[in-house]
Amino acid sequence: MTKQLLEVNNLRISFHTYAGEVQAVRGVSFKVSEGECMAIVGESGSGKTVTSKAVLGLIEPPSGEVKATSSITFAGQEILNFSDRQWRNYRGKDAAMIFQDPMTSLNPTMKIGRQIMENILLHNKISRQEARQRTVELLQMVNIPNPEERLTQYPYEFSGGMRQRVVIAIALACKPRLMIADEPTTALDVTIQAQILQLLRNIQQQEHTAVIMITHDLGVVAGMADFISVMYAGRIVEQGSVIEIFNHPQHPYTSALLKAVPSLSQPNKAPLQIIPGTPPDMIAPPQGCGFASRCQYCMKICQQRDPAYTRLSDTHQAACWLHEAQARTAFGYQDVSEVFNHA
Amino acid sequence: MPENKSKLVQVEHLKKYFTIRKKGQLMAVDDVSFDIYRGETFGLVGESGCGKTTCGRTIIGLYPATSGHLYYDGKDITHLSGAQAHWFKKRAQMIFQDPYASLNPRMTVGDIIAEGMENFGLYPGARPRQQRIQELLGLVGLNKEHANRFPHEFSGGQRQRIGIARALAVDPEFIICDEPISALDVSIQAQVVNLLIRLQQELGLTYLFIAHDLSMVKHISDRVAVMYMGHLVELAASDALYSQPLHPYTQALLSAIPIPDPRIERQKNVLPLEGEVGSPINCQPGCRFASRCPRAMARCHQETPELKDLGARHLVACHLY
Repeated sequence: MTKQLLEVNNLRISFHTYAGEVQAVRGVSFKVSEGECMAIVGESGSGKTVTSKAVLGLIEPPSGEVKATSSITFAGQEILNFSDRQWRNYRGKDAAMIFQDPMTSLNPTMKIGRQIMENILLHNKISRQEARQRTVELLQMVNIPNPEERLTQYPYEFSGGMRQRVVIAIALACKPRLMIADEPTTALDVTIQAQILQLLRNIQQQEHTAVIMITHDLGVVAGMADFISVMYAGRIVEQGSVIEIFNHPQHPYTSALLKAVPSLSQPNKAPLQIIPGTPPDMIAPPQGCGFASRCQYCMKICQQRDPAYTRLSDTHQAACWLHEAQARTAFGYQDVSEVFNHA
Repeated sequence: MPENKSKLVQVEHLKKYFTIRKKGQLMAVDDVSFDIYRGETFGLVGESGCGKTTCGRTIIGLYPATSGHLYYDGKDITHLSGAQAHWFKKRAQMIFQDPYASLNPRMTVGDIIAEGMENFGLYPGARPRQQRIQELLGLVGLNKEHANRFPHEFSGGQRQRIGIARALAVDPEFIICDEPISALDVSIQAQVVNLLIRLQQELGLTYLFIAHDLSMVKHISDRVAVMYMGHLVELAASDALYSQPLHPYTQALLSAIPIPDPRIERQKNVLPLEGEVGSPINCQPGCRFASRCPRAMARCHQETPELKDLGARHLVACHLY
């Protein structure tokens, strides 16, 4: 039995802007266990990056606000009321982040070696010599050739794929128990992406690290994730194991998202199934289901009330009114996927 | 299919070098030849820095070619000026990658679309022009009220539609789409791709579709060419290329595409590709892929392979064949 590491409960985050309060995350809950990879999938603006930043305490007041009802526990400890000192100990040591853009997440004026050592020296009482040794090991671990030489180079001397390896090495420096990867391969080419994903998989298995992977690429998710949370308009609309989500999607958004990607076996130029419209404005989030305005199965109630989660298995749940008994009898179906396959 | 169609664009031994001070020549496009037939979609894929965008920009005349020849509808368009350039620009248009940077923020959508018509004296008079703008907006799935708004009022997908309407304003025959969907979300990508396919069928357009999203390129293209460090390494009908890639680079590239199906993706065998793309500055003769190729021979490092037709219009530049 794997041990639960992170639990996020009813997370609500708002940003105060001149235009008004942007409700970026509206009640998100999920759990991540050790050695497990959970993927958060969603479009830009759905709140996935904001959610992950909250786990690292990177939502900064006064513009950003984590609502008082929210709770995030890491290894049994509530982290949202951490002091500054506790945050510093936690970030980089217990939980680390791999950022999306390797071009901007490294300091261009610092040598690679120092950037990696910084983290090690901050969290461990060891000599510079030992830290250096550990840095070399880390660079070997992420498959950077000639690590001794590379230590004294600057980020501009590295290619995109190599920089992302350095970013991963920094994240791994203190053997974190939780790693958050925010679109780690979006800026990279497919062949380099394959190398980086393989590396992340190996590390996860060796170190038994929990990984939260944020991405919009369903192909990447299929290869990496154990569990998937699909986010839309600041809420998780569906949660389940990778097989459940891909093979039995139970929310219209998940189903539509899966069909919007062309598969290589599909005939060319056949129209792709589209999701009409655009995501809602989070300054004035819709009263009912966030997806209602784009949903082809939208009912009257969908625009009035936000659906609660329907539990479909131990790991699988979806928030959609189609699961309501009344809708089932009215339309005459047993399983919601029947409805999606008909269309 | 394409056999009995006429050639619209011919690219012959096209080279585009950029001079880098003190370092020499950056060989962005190096001896590339292909034809685009009327009414087809020609896909151009490759990783960043392989020269695919430079190739597109050179064809449309944004960069002067270093050497080689370009023909459009039989006419030489390699170095155009004056009336001939005007003639070509009316026929060939471009859709850009970044919908945020490619629209002038100070112009209304109507003005952006009308600019091309003005340059070519199309639809003279305020009323016919307004009518045409509204027609174009309808064609790309926007409302006619949008003509009076500014680009910042639109989302990425909508802006890309404005970019498409602008390209269509001069009634072109040939459109170069340079990564038109890579800045968009998955659910919006499908909308734009469907629009491009529909417009092609309705207006008989010819596309050069440049992208790095390999599954989208397969979906939209009739034929696909693969570029690596300025060279064309393989060219074939889209189905043939994806089902039977011949060049070792194409094979590795295709095996690296993540497939959105966990059962396939987890059992899939990614062909390992060691190392990274080399430097395109002052390249020596030889296959550019040789240093990373698992099947490289001595000959590959010395002699640049020619693009050979292996039958059924499947062209490969590799010494293995």
